[in-house]
Amino acid sequence: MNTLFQTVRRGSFMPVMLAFTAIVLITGCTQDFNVTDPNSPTPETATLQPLMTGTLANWRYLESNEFIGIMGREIYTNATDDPRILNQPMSGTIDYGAFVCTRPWNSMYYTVANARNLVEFAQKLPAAEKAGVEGVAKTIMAYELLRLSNLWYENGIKIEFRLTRDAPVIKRADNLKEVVRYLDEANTALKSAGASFSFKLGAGFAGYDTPANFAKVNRALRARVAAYQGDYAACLTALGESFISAGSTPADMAKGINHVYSTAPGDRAPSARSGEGGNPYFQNVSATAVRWWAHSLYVSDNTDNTVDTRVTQKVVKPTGVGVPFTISGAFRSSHVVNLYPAQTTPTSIIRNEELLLLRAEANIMSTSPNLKSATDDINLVRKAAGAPDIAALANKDEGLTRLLYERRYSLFFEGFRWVDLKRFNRLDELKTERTTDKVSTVGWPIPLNEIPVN
Amino acid sequence: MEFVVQGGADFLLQDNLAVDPPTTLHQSVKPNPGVTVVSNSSNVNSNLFLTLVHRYESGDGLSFTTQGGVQFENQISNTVQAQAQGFAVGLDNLNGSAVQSSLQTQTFRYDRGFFLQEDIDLFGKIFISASLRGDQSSANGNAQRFFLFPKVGASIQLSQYDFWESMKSTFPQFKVRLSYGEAGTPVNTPNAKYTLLSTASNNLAGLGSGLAVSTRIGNPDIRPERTGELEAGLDFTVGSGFALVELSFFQKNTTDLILSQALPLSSGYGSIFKNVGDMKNTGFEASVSFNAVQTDLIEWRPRINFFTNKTEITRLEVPPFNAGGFGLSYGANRVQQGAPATAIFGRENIGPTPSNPTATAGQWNGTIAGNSMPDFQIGFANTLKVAGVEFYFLVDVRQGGHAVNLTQDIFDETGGTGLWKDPAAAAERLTKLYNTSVATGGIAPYIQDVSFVKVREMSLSYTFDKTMFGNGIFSAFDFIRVGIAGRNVFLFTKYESYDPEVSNFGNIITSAGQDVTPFPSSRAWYANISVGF
Repeated sequence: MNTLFQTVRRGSFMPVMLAFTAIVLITGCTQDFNVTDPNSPTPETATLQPLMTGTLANWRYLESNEFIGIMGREIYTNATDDPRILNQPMSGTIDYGAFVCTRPWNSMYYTVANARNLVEFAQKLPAAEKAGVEGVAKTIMAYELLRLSNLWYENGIKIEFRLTRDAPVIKRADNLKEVVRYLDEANTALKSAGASFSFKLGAGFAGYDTPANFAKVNRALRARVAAYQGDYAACLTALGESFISAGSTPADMAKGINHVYSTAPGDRAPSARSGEGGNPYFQNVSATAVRWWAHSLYVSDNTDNTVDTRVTQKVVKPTGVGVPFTISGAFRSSHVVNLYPAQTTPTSIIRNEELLLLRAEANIMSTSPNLKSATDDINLVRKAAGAPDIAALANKDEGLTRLLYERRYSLFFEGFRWVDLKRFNRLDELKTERTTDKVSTVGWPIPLNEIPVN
Repeated sequence: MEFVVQGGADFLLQDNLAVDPPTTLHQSVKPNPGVTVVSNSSNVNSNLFLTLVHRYESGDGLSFTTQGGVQFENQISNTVQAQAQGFAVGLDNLNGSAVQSSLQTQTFRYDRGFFLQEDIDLFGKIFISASLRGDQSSANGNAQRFFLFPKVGASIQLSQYDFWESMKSTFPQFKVRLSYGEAGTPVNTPNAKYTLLSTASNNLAGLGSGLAVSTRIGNPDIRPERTGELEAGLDFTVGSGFALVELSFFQKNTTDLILSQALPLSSGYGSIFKNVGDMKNTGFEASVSFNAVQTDLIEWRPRINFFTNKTEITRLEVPPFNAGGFGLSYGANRVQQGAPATAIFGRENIGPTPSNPTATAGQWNGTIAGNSMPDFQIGFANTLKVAGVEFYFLVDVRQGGHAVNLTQDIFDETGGTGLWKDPAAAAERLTKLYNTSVATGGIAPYIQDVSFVKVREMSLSYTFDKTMFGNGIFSAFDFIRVGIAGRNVFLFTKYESYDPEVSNFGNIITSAGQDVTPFPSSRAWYANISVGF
């Protein structure tokens, strides 16, 4: 630091300097030392809509779908930046102290934290407004806890949110009950939330942005959890209160709620790569390097792969890359993922296509199966995809195999395949490529920073 | 009595422009290739020191100096940054981009304090000094509280005593010193005490700007970390000014060590700045300066520094946590009681380990995979003057210390092993990296010794002095000096990456030694002309 003036001594300057000193001391000591942060607002000064917007924006973390996709042999990630993204899910050995494990955990619990913050904020609002916020926030919490439960499967997750590490780890059966509890509380709240919300949910929720219609989304999620619990009676009940509709066009399948993306300033999804805006899993399939490749069996396992749009549209042959993707000769693939063909393509949160398959599942797996109805629902989904009808399902076993096949193609790269095979104990159907590879049968490990140690 | 007023003000304006052109390979595959970042930062720092000094001299060699004063320091900065992506080739103006974002960061920090100091000179033989500081900072949890830091020190000039006479010709000056002092460092982040909402990247199309909870929770109890340093030393000269030797042993105990503690993210918060424990540094420093040759024609002055330091986290009141790096499987920096603050841990050090799969999760087994702290460092500076020619160089030697060579790992894992001196070794490294059952597996082969010898500075200059100018056009000048100088001129190391010195996380002690293709320190050459009037 430059010293501008220095060492004035004694003599006639003394009174001047003393006066100057007095002024500095008085102004210096009265200066407000409690500097508040000029960059960010505090929870006290925040308003509802920005908090809701921030929660919805952060809810768009999709990387867990990528990890489930690699683990469930749906895709390969050509991760030249960090080989662990591919290798750890492939080998089933996840480093509990590194990002492959911690990032999905952190990101989904972060959305839970934002939703919890909304619930807390709502306490000071009028009753109906409060119920509306709670209905949405708790539905989001449930959705994220369910995704966490799926990836951590047998290892369990935490359902208490403590700053210390001692919150218990709750196993799958019980953490699903917690998901149900949040969904049911949200549903109850939505019933007393009036005719409209006091906040906007944005373009991704068009048609589902009133308490009554959002409750149909809530019930759709309830049906998903019920199926995961094996409680097919509850699944059918919830589906009856959901937005399920028996159409057979692509538009019918797409009904539901979505995450939306733009390249506007500050609109960046949590798993966006290197600061890119837009849909984080959009890729330019004609580029000279492509990141997400379909698993080598995805196309060949489909019996109608020339007409089924779930193959012909979701994966394509790359045009910019000369040779098929291969690492050490172990993984070969001829197709790249084209699930989201534009930067602004939305990603589905839950949609009718899944609901029809959930109803089919309930009708197949139920104690009193209705295979006719299941066949019909599956054929609606197949018709929308341009695939030929299947013959009536003959028995439960055939039904389940067929159901898993349809779910594999309908919900490709959306975080389902490994979970489905795990649910029905069929993970041995997945093929491993290298001797060092193994399909994880338990799921992700609890992160190191969550484990009490001393 | 003297009244001393010292004050200063700095204004620093910085303009940065960083361009990552759309034509580079990694950019060309992105949805919006090309990144340009323009940033503008203004910093105002000001300070004012007011000191009263009183000196008393008895006349027979006894003197007392008493000082007291107050100090004010203010730091204000404002950084505005604009980033844009997606450029047409050949264009880097922000207006031509597809995606734009901006960021502003303001910081305010105020510190003030007082000090009292007494220096006693006993007949030029014994010097005693004692002082007390009180510091307040707006960065502390309690901004109004004064934190007190005492210091005491004493030294004896043995060479001033009669009994030294016989040794005076060998060691004309000989001083023994001992001191203890405490100093405080407030948290580096001025807003560490507040829990705030985050405004970054939470916007959603059609809904405008969003707010999210911060991943860092505020700590209203944050206090300055306090370092007490005990130092003992010897300073002496050899011969009539042939050499000056300074030796110091030090032990620094840092209490209330401030670290960014990693929290369980299930809470919604990821970190907190916290006074987490204590750290100990023990070290030895020696420097010897020689007047090796001093004649009218030739002058040679070498100087050697030796420095060694050991650090240990002696107490940790929170659970151990990873503080830096890319996870245990890639060699993480971890804050662990009983381990060096600079330790690097691998999968084989924290339970369950490959050799002990039943160890308690998260339990440290007492070993470390590496330590970024070198065994010792030596600096060797030389000034050689022959007539008007001056040659100077500084050689830095670093012995020991590790880094995680993730640069090499990335090349290995993606098949780019042709770069290495021993490409075949890559396969062996990878086998170990992927091996989940052997104790010596994991990242160990990539935790490598970073010993090096570096010619840090080198310069050669020639001075034309006044006597050469005569009465001509140059007679107005006292001297003219021309020369060239270089930085980071030569590097000798067995470490195979860009630079053994550079870490991806800068100079943070608890995240040192992480090497993922960091930007190396660059070699620079300068040409100088200086003129004296």
